[in-house]
Amino acid sequence: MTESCGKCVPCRVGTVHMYNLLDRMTRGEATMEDLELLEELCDMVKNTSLCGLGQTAPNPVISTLRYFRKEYEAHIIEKRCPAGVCRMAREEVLV
Amino acid sequence: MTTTSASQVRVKTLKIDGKDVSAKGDQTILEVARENGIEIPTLCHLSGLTPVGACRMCLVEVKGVNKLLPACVTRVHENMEVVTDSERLRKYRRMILEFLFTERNHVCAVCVTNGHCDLQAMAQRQGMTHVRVPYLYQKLKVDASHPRFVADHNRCILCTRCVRVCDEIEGAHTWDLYHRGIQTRVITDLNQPWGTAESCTGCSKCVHVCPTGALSEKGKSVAEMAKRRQFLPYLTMMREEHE
Repeated sequence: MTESCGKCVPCRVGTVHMYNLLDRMTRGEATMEDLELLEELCDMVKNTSLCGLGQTAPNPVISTLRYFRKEYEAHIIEKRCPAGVCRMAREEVLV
Repeated sequence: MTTTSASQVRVKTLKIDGKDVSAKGDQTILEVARENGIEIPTLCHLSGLTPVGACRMCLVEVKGVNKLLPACVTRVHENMEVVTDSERLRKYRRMILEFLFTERNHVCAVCVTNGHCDLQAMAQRQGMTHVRVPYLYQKLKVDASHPRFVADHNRCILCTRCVRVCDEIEGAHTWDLYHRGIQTRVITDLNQPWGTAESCTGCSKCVHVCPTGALSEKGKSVAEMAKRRQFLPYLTMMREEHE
């Protein structure tokens, strides 16, 4: 996001939206619709960006969505962070 | 007709949306499509200015190429098969418009160019009825220091038409870009108020090529700022004749 040069729209704005959505997930404020939207944003930014930066920026999100989808869902549905990285994690596990 | 003889005379034949068209070798897909009555949506492109391929509205599918290509900067090839309108492209174009609307504060109801705005017209044409991503609500300044014009950065879509017209047509290069990513803004001279920019000749070309209400004339109220762009094809034609 901070490395985008700002020339093309998908990379300049899309990466910020992706960041905000992921941030909401780590705070336990996201919904399942947000997860779908995130997937759509990734696909769009990857396919429409002008240079290699925008075309590859969504890759980490796409691959974690593919292999760790359950963790995303745990954040959204159970408000729990299985890896113990996000702040909400411990409290929710104890409850 | 063989392919070799066709490339020697530099006339190329290709298919756009299934329609057989011919083109000069150095033409772009967008030019050929428009000559043949095929409309490709654009925002940053303006005939007479150097295309930059920044808005990504004109992306088209080309058979055999797995990436989407911007029609405004892609030159035609022999036997190219171009698709300018598909469900996928329409979806991406709508999302680009959603991004532009969420990036800054585009409130048509209070805008000087309401009804004369390229962004608004494009959203209507592409069927972008609502925005699904949250607004970013950036707070940007309004520069009213120039005696005749106003620059409202909240309505800017960073198409860089003003930058290009000022540099290429007027030759003043008052406008330029500042910062990067989401913080990018257009600036005058060395990021100083427009009114104090010494290189500005006050020609108003930037105001009239601006697709939105970001640059407008003072004294115009809501929906009164209609843009006059007729000078651009005229100036470029006269210069080509002169050369």
